[in-house]
Amino acid sequence: MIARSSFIQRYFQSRTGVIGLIILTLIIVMAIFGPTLYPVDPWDMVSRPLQWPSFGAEAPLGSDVLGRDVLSGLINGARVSLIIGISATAAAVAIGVTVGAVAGYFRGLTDDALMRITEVFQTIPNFLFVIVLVAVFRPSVFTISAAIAVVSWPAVARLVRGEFLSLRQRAFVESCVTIGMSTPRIIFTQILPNCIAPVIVTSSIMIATAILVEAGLSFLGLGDPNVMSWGAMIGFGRQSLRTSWYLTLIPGVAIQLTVLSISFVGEALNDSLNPRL
Amino acid sequence: MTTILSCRDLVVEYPTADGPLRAVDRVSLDVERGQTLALVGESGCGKSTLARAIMGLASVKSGSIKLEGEELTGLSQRELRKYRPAIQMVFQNPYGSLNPRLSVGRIIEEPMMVQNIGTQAERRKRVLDLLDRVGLTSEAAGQYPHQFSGGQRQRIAIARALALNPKLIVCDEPVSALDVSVQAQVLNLLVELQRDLGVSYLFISHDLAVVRHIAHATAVMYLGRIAARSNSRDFWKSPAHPYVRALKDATPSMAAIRDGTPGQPILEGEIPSALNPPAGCRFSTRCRYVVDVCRQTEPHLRQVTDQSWVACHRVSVGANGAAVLPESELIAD
Amino acid sequence: MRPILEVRELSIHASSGGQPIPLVEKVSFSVEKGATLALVGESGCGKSMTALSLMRILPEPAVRIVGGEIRFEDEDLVSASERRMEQLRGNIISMIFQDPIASLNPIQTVGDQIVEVIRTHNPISRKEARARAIELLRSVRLPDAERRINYYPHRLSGGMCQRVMIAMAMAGAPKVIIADEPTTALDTTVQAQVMALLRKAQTETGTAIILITHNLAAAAEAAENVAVMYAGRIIEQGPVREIFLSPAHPYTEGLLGAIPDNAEGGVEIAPLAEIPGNVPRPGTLPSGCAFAPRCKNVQQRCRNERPDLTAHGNRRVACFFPYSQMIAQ
Repeated sequence: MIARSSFIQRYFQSRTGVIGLIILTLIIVMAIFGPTLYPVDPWDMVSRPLQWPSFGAEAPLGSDVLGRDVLSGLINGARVSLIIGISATAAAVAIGVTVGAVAGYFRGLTDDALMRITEVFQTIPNFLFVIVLVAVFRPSVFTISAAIAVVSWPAVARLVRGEFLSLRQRAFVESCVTIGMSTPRIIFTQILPNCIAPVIVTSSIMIATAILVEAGLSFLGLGDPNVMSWGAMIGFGRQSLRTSWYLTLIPGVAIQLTVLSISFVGEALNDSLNPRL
Repeated sequence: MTTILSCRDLVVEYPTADGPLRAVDRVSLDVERGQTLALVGESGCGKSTLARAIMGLASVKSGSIKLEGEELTGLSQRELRKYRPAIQMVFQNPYGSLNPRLSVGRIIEEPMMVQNIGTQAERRKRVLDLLDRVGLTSEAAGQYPHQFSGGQRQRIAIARALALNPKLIVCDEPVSALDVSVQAQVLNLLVELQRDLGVSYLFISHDLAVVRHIAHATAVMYLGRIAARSNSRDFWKSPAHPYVRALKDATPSMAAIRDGTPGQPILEGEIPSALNPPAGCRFSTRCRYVVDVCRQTEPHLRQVTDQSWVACHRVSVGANGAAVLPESELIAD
Repeated sequence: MRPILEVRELSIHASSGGQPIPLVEKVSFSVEKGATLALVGESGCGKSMTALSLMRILPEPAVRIVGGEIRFEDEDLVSASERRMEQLRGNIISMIFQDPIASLNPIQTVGDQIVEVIRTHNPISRKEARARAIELLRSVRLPDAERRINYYPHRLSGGMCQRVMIAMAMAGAPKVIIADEPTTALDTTVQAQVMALLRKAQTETGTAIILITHNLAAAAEAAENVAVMYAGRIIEQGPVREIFLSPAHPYTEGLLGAIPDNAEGGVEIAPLAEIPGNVPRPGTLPSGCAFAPRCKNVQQRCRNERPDLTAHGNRRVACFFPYSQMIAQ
């Protein structure tokens, strides 16, 4: 038998996966330690407005219309983006896995009912629905995360349901029925561990999507007014796009890099979790 | 002889888009202690559904399944739990029947954990005994299914089935996914385990060569019904039922080059849909011996010799006491 | 008679990453007009790759022919152009696969698929091609051919799909049909029908058949000659009757012994002859004879050297210590 190399070995065979992981680690380190190492309040006026980025200046990455430090915004925005991305995805995965597992395992009427509800959520245009939810419940990091979770769980539910439908018919699951294993035990010890891989892969893409949705909301002025986020920074730079385009470019590139690195990681996870030998 | 498992007039139906499909229709059979009953038939004959019904994986519409006299039909999964250890199953595809994420040791230990048997140390010891029993080394316990070949995985599946000391193992095509040289190893293992442990097998297969080798008794199914059954190991030498005979003739055999047996007439047509089985005898649409009564009245299984039963209007008992078909009246091909 | 297809020293390698893995090594065989050759062996022995290479439909570039010749009439198919292969494929050399349902396009009627094959190789109108298709389906005894020609594959049973595949294979004027496990996915009674159909096509058109199978009994019934493959090589080849009645290679003997054949009946279940160990995987072969680790007659020489296929009377055997008394008979 060709020995299957370990998951970690397989992951590091992917060049884009490694690049993605490095960039993502840098962003996470920046989000965690940045505010301590560079203790500038992103809302403070630290220099004259619209200073171009230059080394040694008070604001190394320039300042915006109100003289706020772009670097500080970038560092603090990373926190907001990652928190929203991760918490929205975690909530969506929790709802989606539960609904999908129940529908896929029990089939029949339970499945029909749950899938109709899922379809209702899926047919509403996502971004508009998020806007409505955020507008109704007042924008905050919590409501934004919750709103994104509400629109994203159906994808997970459908995925998990599909996996359950096929896995529960597999002989190893039936074999557990024949030794007298109880239903919850079959679900948690036999089926769920076998559908973790596709869920992890989907989650990585969902984190990226959530970051983009948050950026879109902030750009429209529907972000949490108490925190500086990358989308908000792009929104603030909008008026001076022609003259001070760096205000849009810098947070734009940050979003781009984050999303790209997350999808690289997701793709590499997909390849390494599902080896096709 | 004591009967381990006995099914009477068992009916199993599946809902389909075109109405209920009766996959198993009034089937009765017995498995004796320490013996192998082979259940033979082509796809769609209901043999696998019957196995699933016996294992409580398919729901029974009517009829009875008795395990050593205890009725199993109508029990909930929870009530069934205490009978589970006595009947275990080995599945066809050794690549799908083992959880890829569990170690082999855990896979074999799992039935004992679920049934709360022994301490962990005792269970671990039994796992090693079982691995040895099926011809694997103790290192296997720490390895994962993907590290083993098809034949070795089937040995692991057998070890798991043995963990609860079952009285009966339902084997659903256990060797059909294996290479010939490995198939022989697994068949020998099954025979050896039966001799040493006295376990009974309900052995489901489409492969006549395998069935002829391993079975003490045989039942042949066609479209949900039992066409013929026998308690003799010589059943296949001169089967009386026209379908059984056709099945035998259609199976490629080394006899052709050994004794230059002339080619047998080939059974025409295909198995009709189980959704809409033919009236009268289900085999009447393809049978060479068909007469009007076959198309009108369904034949019942009746005893023709001291060891064999057939469901056929045309079979009679000849002068020498053997079951015969009216060869002279054969319709010209 | 001169063979219609002759394979000489054919080698096929797979390259995954760096090291090429030999799948088929120096395989030679030939088949004459109207004759059947069976290539038999267990999984991973290279029989299917050999079949695909004859049509030049290996999954290139991962798997490719690295040496040898495939002589068809007067040309070498290994070096033939892709254009030339397109002319031959499905027309002069046809192939029938194991899974008939998967081999048909699910979104096209079977009639359209046969018509397409006919018109690819013959400049005739759709109408004529359709009439020919019905004729072909009748000849493979597809019941109710006029109606079923408009069916999509999913409405036909596995056996019927295999009939359609055979009709398609016969659509040109095939001189060679390669049948790769043509009956493995079918029911026993339908298997016999399909094999009879292939025999009928063969007697009517004189086409040669290369039957790839794991079923020795099926090979015994259908073929005159057999080549037994193990781990990418032919280890014994010759007349099927001679080889199956008195195998010279221990592997052939082991395979035949492993087939359950309860000719005696009797109450006791006698153990089958086993070949110990497992079928080797490509790329993990020992340096000497590939069968040495499982062979009951193994000697030191077998572990060091690889035996070549050498002639013994009518047959060729790759073994240093063949059962020679059997060959003598």
